[in-house]
Amino acid sequence: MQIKINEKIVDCLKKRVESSDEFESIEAYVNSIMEQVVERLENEVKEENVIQEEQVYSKEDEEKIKNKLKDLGYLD
Amino acid sequence: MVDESRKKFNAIAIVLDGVRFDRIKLLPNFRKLCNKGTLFSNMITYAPYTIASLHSIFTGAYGSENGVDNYYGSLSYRHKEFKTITEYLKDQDYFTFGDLINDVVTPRQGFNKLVLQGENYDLCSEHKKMLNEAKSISKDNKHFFLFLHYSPVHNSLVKNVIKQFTDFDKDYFENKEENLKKYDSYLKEADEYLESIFNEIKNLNLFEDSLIVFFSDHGSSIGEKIGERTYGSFCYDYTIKIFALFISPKGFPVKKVEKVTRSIDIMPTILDVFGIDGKFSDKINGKSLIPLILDKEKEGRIAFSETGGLFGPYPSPKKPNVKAIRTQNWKLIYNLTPNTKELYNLVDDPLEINNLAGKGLQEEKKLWEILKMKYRIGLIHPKYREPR
Repeated sequence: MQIKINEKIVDCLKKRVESSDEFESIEAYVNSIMEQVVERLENEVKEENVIQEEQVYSKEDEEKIKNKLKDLGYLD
Repeated sequence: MVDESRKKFNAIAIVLDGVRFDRIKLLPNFRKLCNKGTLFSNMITYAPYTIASLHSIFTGAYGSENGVDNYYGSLSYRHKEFKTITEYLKDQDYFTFGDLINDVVTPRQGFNKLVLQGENYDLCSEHKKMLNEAKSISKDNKHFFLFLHYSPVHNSLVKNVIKQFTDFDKDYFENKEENLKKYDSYLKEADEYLESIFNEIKNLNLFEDSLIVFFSDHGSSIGEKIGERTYGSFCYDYTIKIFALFISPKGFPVKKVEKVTRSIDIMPTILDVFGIDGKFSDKINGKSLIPLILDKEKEGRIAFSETGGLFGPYPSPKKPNVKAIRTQNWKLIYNLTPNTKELYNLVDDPLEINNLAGKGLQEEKKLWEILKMKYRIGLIHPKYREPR
């Protein structure tokens, strides 16, 4: 798979690769960046699933709370 | 501040359920009480309904931490990870007791004795009986923590608003003056209660050796925004702006702090003045208010609120779907349903009418970044859509 990258970005990455021993090529540098992004993306998906999921209660517990909410006058 | 070489003081906490600061502040007995202690007049509650609000106050933590972030949340309270103010004081050998409208509204952990208010409960007289019991305890050289739940405003709102109107009834939203008049009449009773209960505290000579904290847990609509006839569905100031008044003749000065504070700061403040180490849980989000009284902290704090309504346009009673960040001058609200943002300049627009979201203001960007961090709103989640 070939992906076109904006020339400005390539120049910037090239400079950084040349000035450091960390990466052998621009391709290795791009791969490393993408790995980090994908990892972050996967973590955020997990986190959001945790945060956004509705709490699941047993029918019995839910009934108990519904009765309390009725006592408070919120539910009929 | 209360110190006296850490002499033990009794604690009396009285929650005025559903009382708006902007209305109670006009009443004579409340005003008199304000001249006896330190008033935090710009306090923001974590949640605009009692269940999540009181759990956050008792734990000093947001519901996103303690597990109670929705109307059904008391079942998910993380009692092993948190210690309530009641538990801290019980560990210090305080006798802990009080009353509640219902046993889901606060964590019960740590109470030696808890009375549930039933039908025909004569609240004022029962509260006075409890104060007398407190007096007997103190005569035996013991200390006590007494928690009193003033619930008649809640009861009046249920009877006269929740049971009479829907969240969209024109009859309600087009009669704000009438609604306000009725609401003020409930507060007049609350104000009389304050005088009566405070006199009882003084008559029993409990005043000198006690820290008394009056606070409200949330406010209420009187018809400001269609879609919310009372509270719990939105995060506007008329429901999230509350107050706390700390009275202790040997401690808190007569002072008004107008900087933004949070309801989660009440519990760490009590621990601070009583010299109790609150490090059981590192998840306590609140901070002692003492630095603000001493002017050691110059800025207002950043407050977060969230809710998911039982009613309203987008009910979500099992998970919060409205999240807000409130600073001294600004508020940003993120409505997960229907995925919209609202930004208000609270100085120019205290009634939150003119939504400035999407107009390219720096404040929006800044607050949005903080809100996203707080609630881990996933920016690159595939399902994520930029709010309109």
